[in-house]
Amino acid sequence: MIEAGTPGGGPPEAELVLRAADGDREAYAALVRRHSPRVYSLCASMLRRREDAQDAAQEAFVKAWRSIRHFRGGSSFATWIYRIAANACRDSLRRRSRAQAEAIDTRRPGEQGRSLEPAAKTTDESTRIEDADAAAKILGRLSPDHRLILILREAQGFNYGEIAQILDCSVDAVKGRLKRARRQLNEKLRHFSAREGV
Amino acid sequence: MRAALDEFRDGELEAAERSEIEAHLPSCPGCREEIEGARRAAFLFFPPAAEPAGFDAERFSRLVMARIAEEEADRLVPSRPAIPWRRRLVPAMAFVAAALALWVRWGSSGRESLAADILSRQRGGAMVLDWMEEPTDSGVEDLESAALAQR
Repeated sequence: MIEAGTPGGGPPEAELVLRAADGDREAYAALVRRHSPRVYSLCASMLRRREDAQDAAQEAFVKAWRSIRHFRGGSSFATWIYRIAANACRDSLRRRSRAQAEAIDTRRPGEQGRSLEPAAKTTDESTRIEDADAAAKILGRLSPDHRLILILREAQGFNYGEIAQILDCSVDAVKGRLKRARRQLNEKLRHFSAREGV
Repeated sequence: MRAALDEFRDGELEAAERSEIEAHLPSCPGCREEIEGARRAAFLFFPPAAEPAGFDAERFSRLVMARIAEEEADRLVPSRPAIPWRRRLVPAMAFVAAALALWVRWGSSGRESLAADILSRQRGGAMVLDWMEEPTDSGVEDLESAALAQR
């Protein structure tokens, strides 16, 4: 599933990685062009904000450049960059939740208890909600780790071995996490459907 | 059997296990429904999309490379000129030698005056203690005569 060849032509990936490790910026730019759509897609699915996704994806590629000299090729470049991107997403979510916690702390007493989420839609509005919006809402309620593993498997199509490399864990751990994530997703879906009357 | 359905759907089973499930499915509506439900959910939550909408890989790549160039330019500008350690060693050794010389020179006279100061303080302290512990007879007599006069 992870493309290591030459999608759309151009030099083989291994050659580009070697040249980039030697400081060849053109080679690295080619790697960025090749992998950025899927890396951005991962970040967008995780963070659900275009700007945050752009920042996290950029951060991932800049960090990868800083340490590409130490990249040993034990895994594919794609797996490696995905791991860095997943960590960038986690950092971004952590920053966001810290900022939200601070916003709650600094709210005026009269505003206490009001949610940071947009106001809940009325039942009439919710019946008109697009499927994609509902799906995004439900996914947003999953824990970041569960969301990440589902995105890697279902949206990005990585196999268990590749997910294990990206998440730096065993294949058995991937199976367990994926099972729990799917169970959590089904529960949220049932809960959402019951509440929204969808 | 049900425990392996996810792995079956994900294409992660060995050939033997896969054949076993394929043979089981026609006779088990429950397992078939579970697989179909999971496929529908995956399609709802993760619809197939070749490219993320509105993403320009060429532009993104330029932004990343510009940021890398900027970072590297910042790193190349030294905050202050680097001085070789040998050139730093000479003033450091001169400073240590000067400090030692000062300590030795000041130390001999300083130690003497410090000792004298301590001795004089000890003597003064001893006098005060002597006065407090052993009051003179004349002092007592003065107090007694003052008491008699008051009566």
